Amino acid sequence: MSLLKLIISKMPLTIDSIMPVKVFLPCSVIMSTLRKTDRYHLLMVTLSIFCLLSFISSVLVGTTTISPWELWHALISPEDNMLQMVFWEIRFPRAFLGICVGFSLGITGAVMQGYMRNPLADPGVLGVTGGASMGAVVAFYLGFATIYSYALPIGGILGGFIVLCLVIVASGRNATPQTLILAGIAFSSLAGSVTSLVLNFSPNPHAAMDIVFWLLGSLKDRNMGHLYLSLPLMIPGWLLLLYCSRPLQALTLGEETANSMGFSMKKVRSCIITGSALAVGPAIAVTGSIGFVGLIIPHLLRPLVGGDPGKLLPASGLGGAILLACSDIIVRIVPFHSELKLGVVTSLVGAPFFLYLLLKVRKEAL
Amino acid sequence: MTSNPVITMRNICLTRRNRQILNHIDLDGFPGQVLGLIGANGSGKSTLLKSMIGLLPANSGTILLEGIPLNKIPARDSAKKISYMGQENECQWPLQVRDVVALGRMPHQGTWSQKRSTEDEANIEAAMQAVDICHLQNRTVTRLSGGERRRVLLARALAGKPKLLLADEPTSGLDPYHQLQLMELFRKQAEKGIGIIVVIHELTLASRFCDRIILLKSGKILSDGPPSTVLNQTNLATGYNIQAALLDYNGDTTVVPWCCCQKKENHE
Repeated sequence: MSLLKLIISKMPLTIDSIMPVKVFLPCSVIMSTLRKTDRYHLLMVTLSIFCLLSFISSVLVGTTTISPWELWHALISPEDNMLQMVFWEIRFPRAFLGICVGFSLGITGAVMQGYMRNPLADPGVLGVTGGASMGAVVAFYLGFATIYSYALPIGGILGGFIVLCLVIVASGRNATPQTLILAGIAFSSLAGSVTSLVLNFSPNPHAAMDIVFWLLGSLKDRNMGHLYLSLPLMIPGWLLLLYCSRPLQALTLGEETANSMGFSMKKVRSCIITGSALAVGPAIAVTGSIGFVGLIIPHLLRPLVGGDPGKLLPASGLGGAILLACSDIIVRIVPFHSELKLGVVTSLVGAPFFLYLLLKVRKEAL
Repeated sequence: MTSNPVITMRNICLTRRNRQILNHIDLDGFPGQVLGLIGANGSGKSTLLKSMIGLLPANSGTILLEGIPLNKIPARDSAKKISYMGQENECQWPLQVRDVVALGRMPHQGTWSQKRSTEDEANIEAAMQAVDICHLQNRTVTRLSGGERRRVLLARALAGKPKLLLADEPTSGLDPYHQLQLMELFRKQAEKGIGIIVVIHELTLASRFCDRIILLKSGKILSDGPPSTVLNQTNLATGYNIQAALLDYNGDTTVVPWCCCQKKENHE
């Protein structure tokens, strides 16, 4: 209601004269009458609402669809019941993990593109993604996964950090974004080849199949344990990345200018490296590799925040969360013989979007 | 010059990869003065500028900013006093002009807050008015012409209300009209009391707009003084290896680079 009042107060005409029109005002007119900061707030509010809606839908959708009222009554009822257990053991962790992983991927993608000043950068550019996949696959191969159920995510987190340390050492103390990208590519492909090597040595087709399916990414059968394992790492990662929003704005004008504005690029670099590793490593370790979210979401939202690389961070995080939660819903409602994998859906949804974006940019460039 | 210098450099030496880039440089930048740094490519002009903002720290020597050693001042405080326009003129993301200018207020703002205070807004407005880009303020910066973009970046540098403005080749790649326009803006800012140091290759512009010129050669100061004394045939021959026509236009000396010196470099 206050938002509506705000919109009306920004209108140039008196309320009486536009009373009938007011209700039917198209979105674009509302947007243009708002001031820029208000427009940003409106975007954030809209994204948050959509994020919440996709979370709720994600909770309700599953092998049996629950109606919101049913769930509500089950949750507030004092005695234990089946639905309550299903919610806390299965539905909630899955939906919440989807939101968190999507947020991590979205925000890290935006940070990487801002820092590298390269529209092609994505969360995997520093090698964390490749390292996390490698770690999990190695844990799988060595048989830890059958002994201890959290061996996969822990292996993934360790793998991500090992590769990241190698990247930091290789790029040196005075690393520029370019050397970081190169070192990231080098160690990503190394991690990728280790993953292939493990597949190569897998004792039987079933084991290989399991590994490949894990690599495709999924939120199936994740529980509160996965959440407890990844969230304490992801939250500080998000905060570190959000802390970088101002230096990223300064970086719009180049590294030298950002330095002259009082931002130490060394400090910013360590913040970004640590933050992205904390945010993305656990995410990939818990879900398997999920592509495209971190690449397309920043591109999709950049025009809506006026190109500002700082304001893009929270928006991009929310956008990533929405995309991942919605993809996870698609995974569950589309009837297929074998389960559709999350990473496949994000790429399938993402690539056409990206193409559309490219065509739009091309048209504008002409 | 009666007022105290904004920046004082004494005995600055800077070595990178066993190459001495700056060799015992002494320099004073005064408020209200346009100081031109000239010299051949690779003579150390840009390096000197970068050492002033601590981007390339000097190996020895002292730099004083308003009498206080630069390395004792927190980066953010020195950023409030010195604005730097680098050679890089690109703006990576399609920001609105007003938002680009607002970036200049960053040293005055908090780390987390994105809010602009009324003081910020006033300074942004003043900076845009000073370089006459108010009509562009809602345009996207990546779609502006080279001359317009350079003025936007100048407004960005001025929005922080600096005491010292450093500009690395601000006129490169611009047509004569926009070169003159930019230099006139620098002059106007100097009259308001800002100290300005520009690296410049156009000797004609340097002789016309600078109060003082420092000619660098291989990291050393070859000559330092008003344009009329620095820009003479001997200095230009040693510093640039060129011969120039020194013309008199309404009492001002104008330098027009004319031809390369005949003598080979290895005879020097």
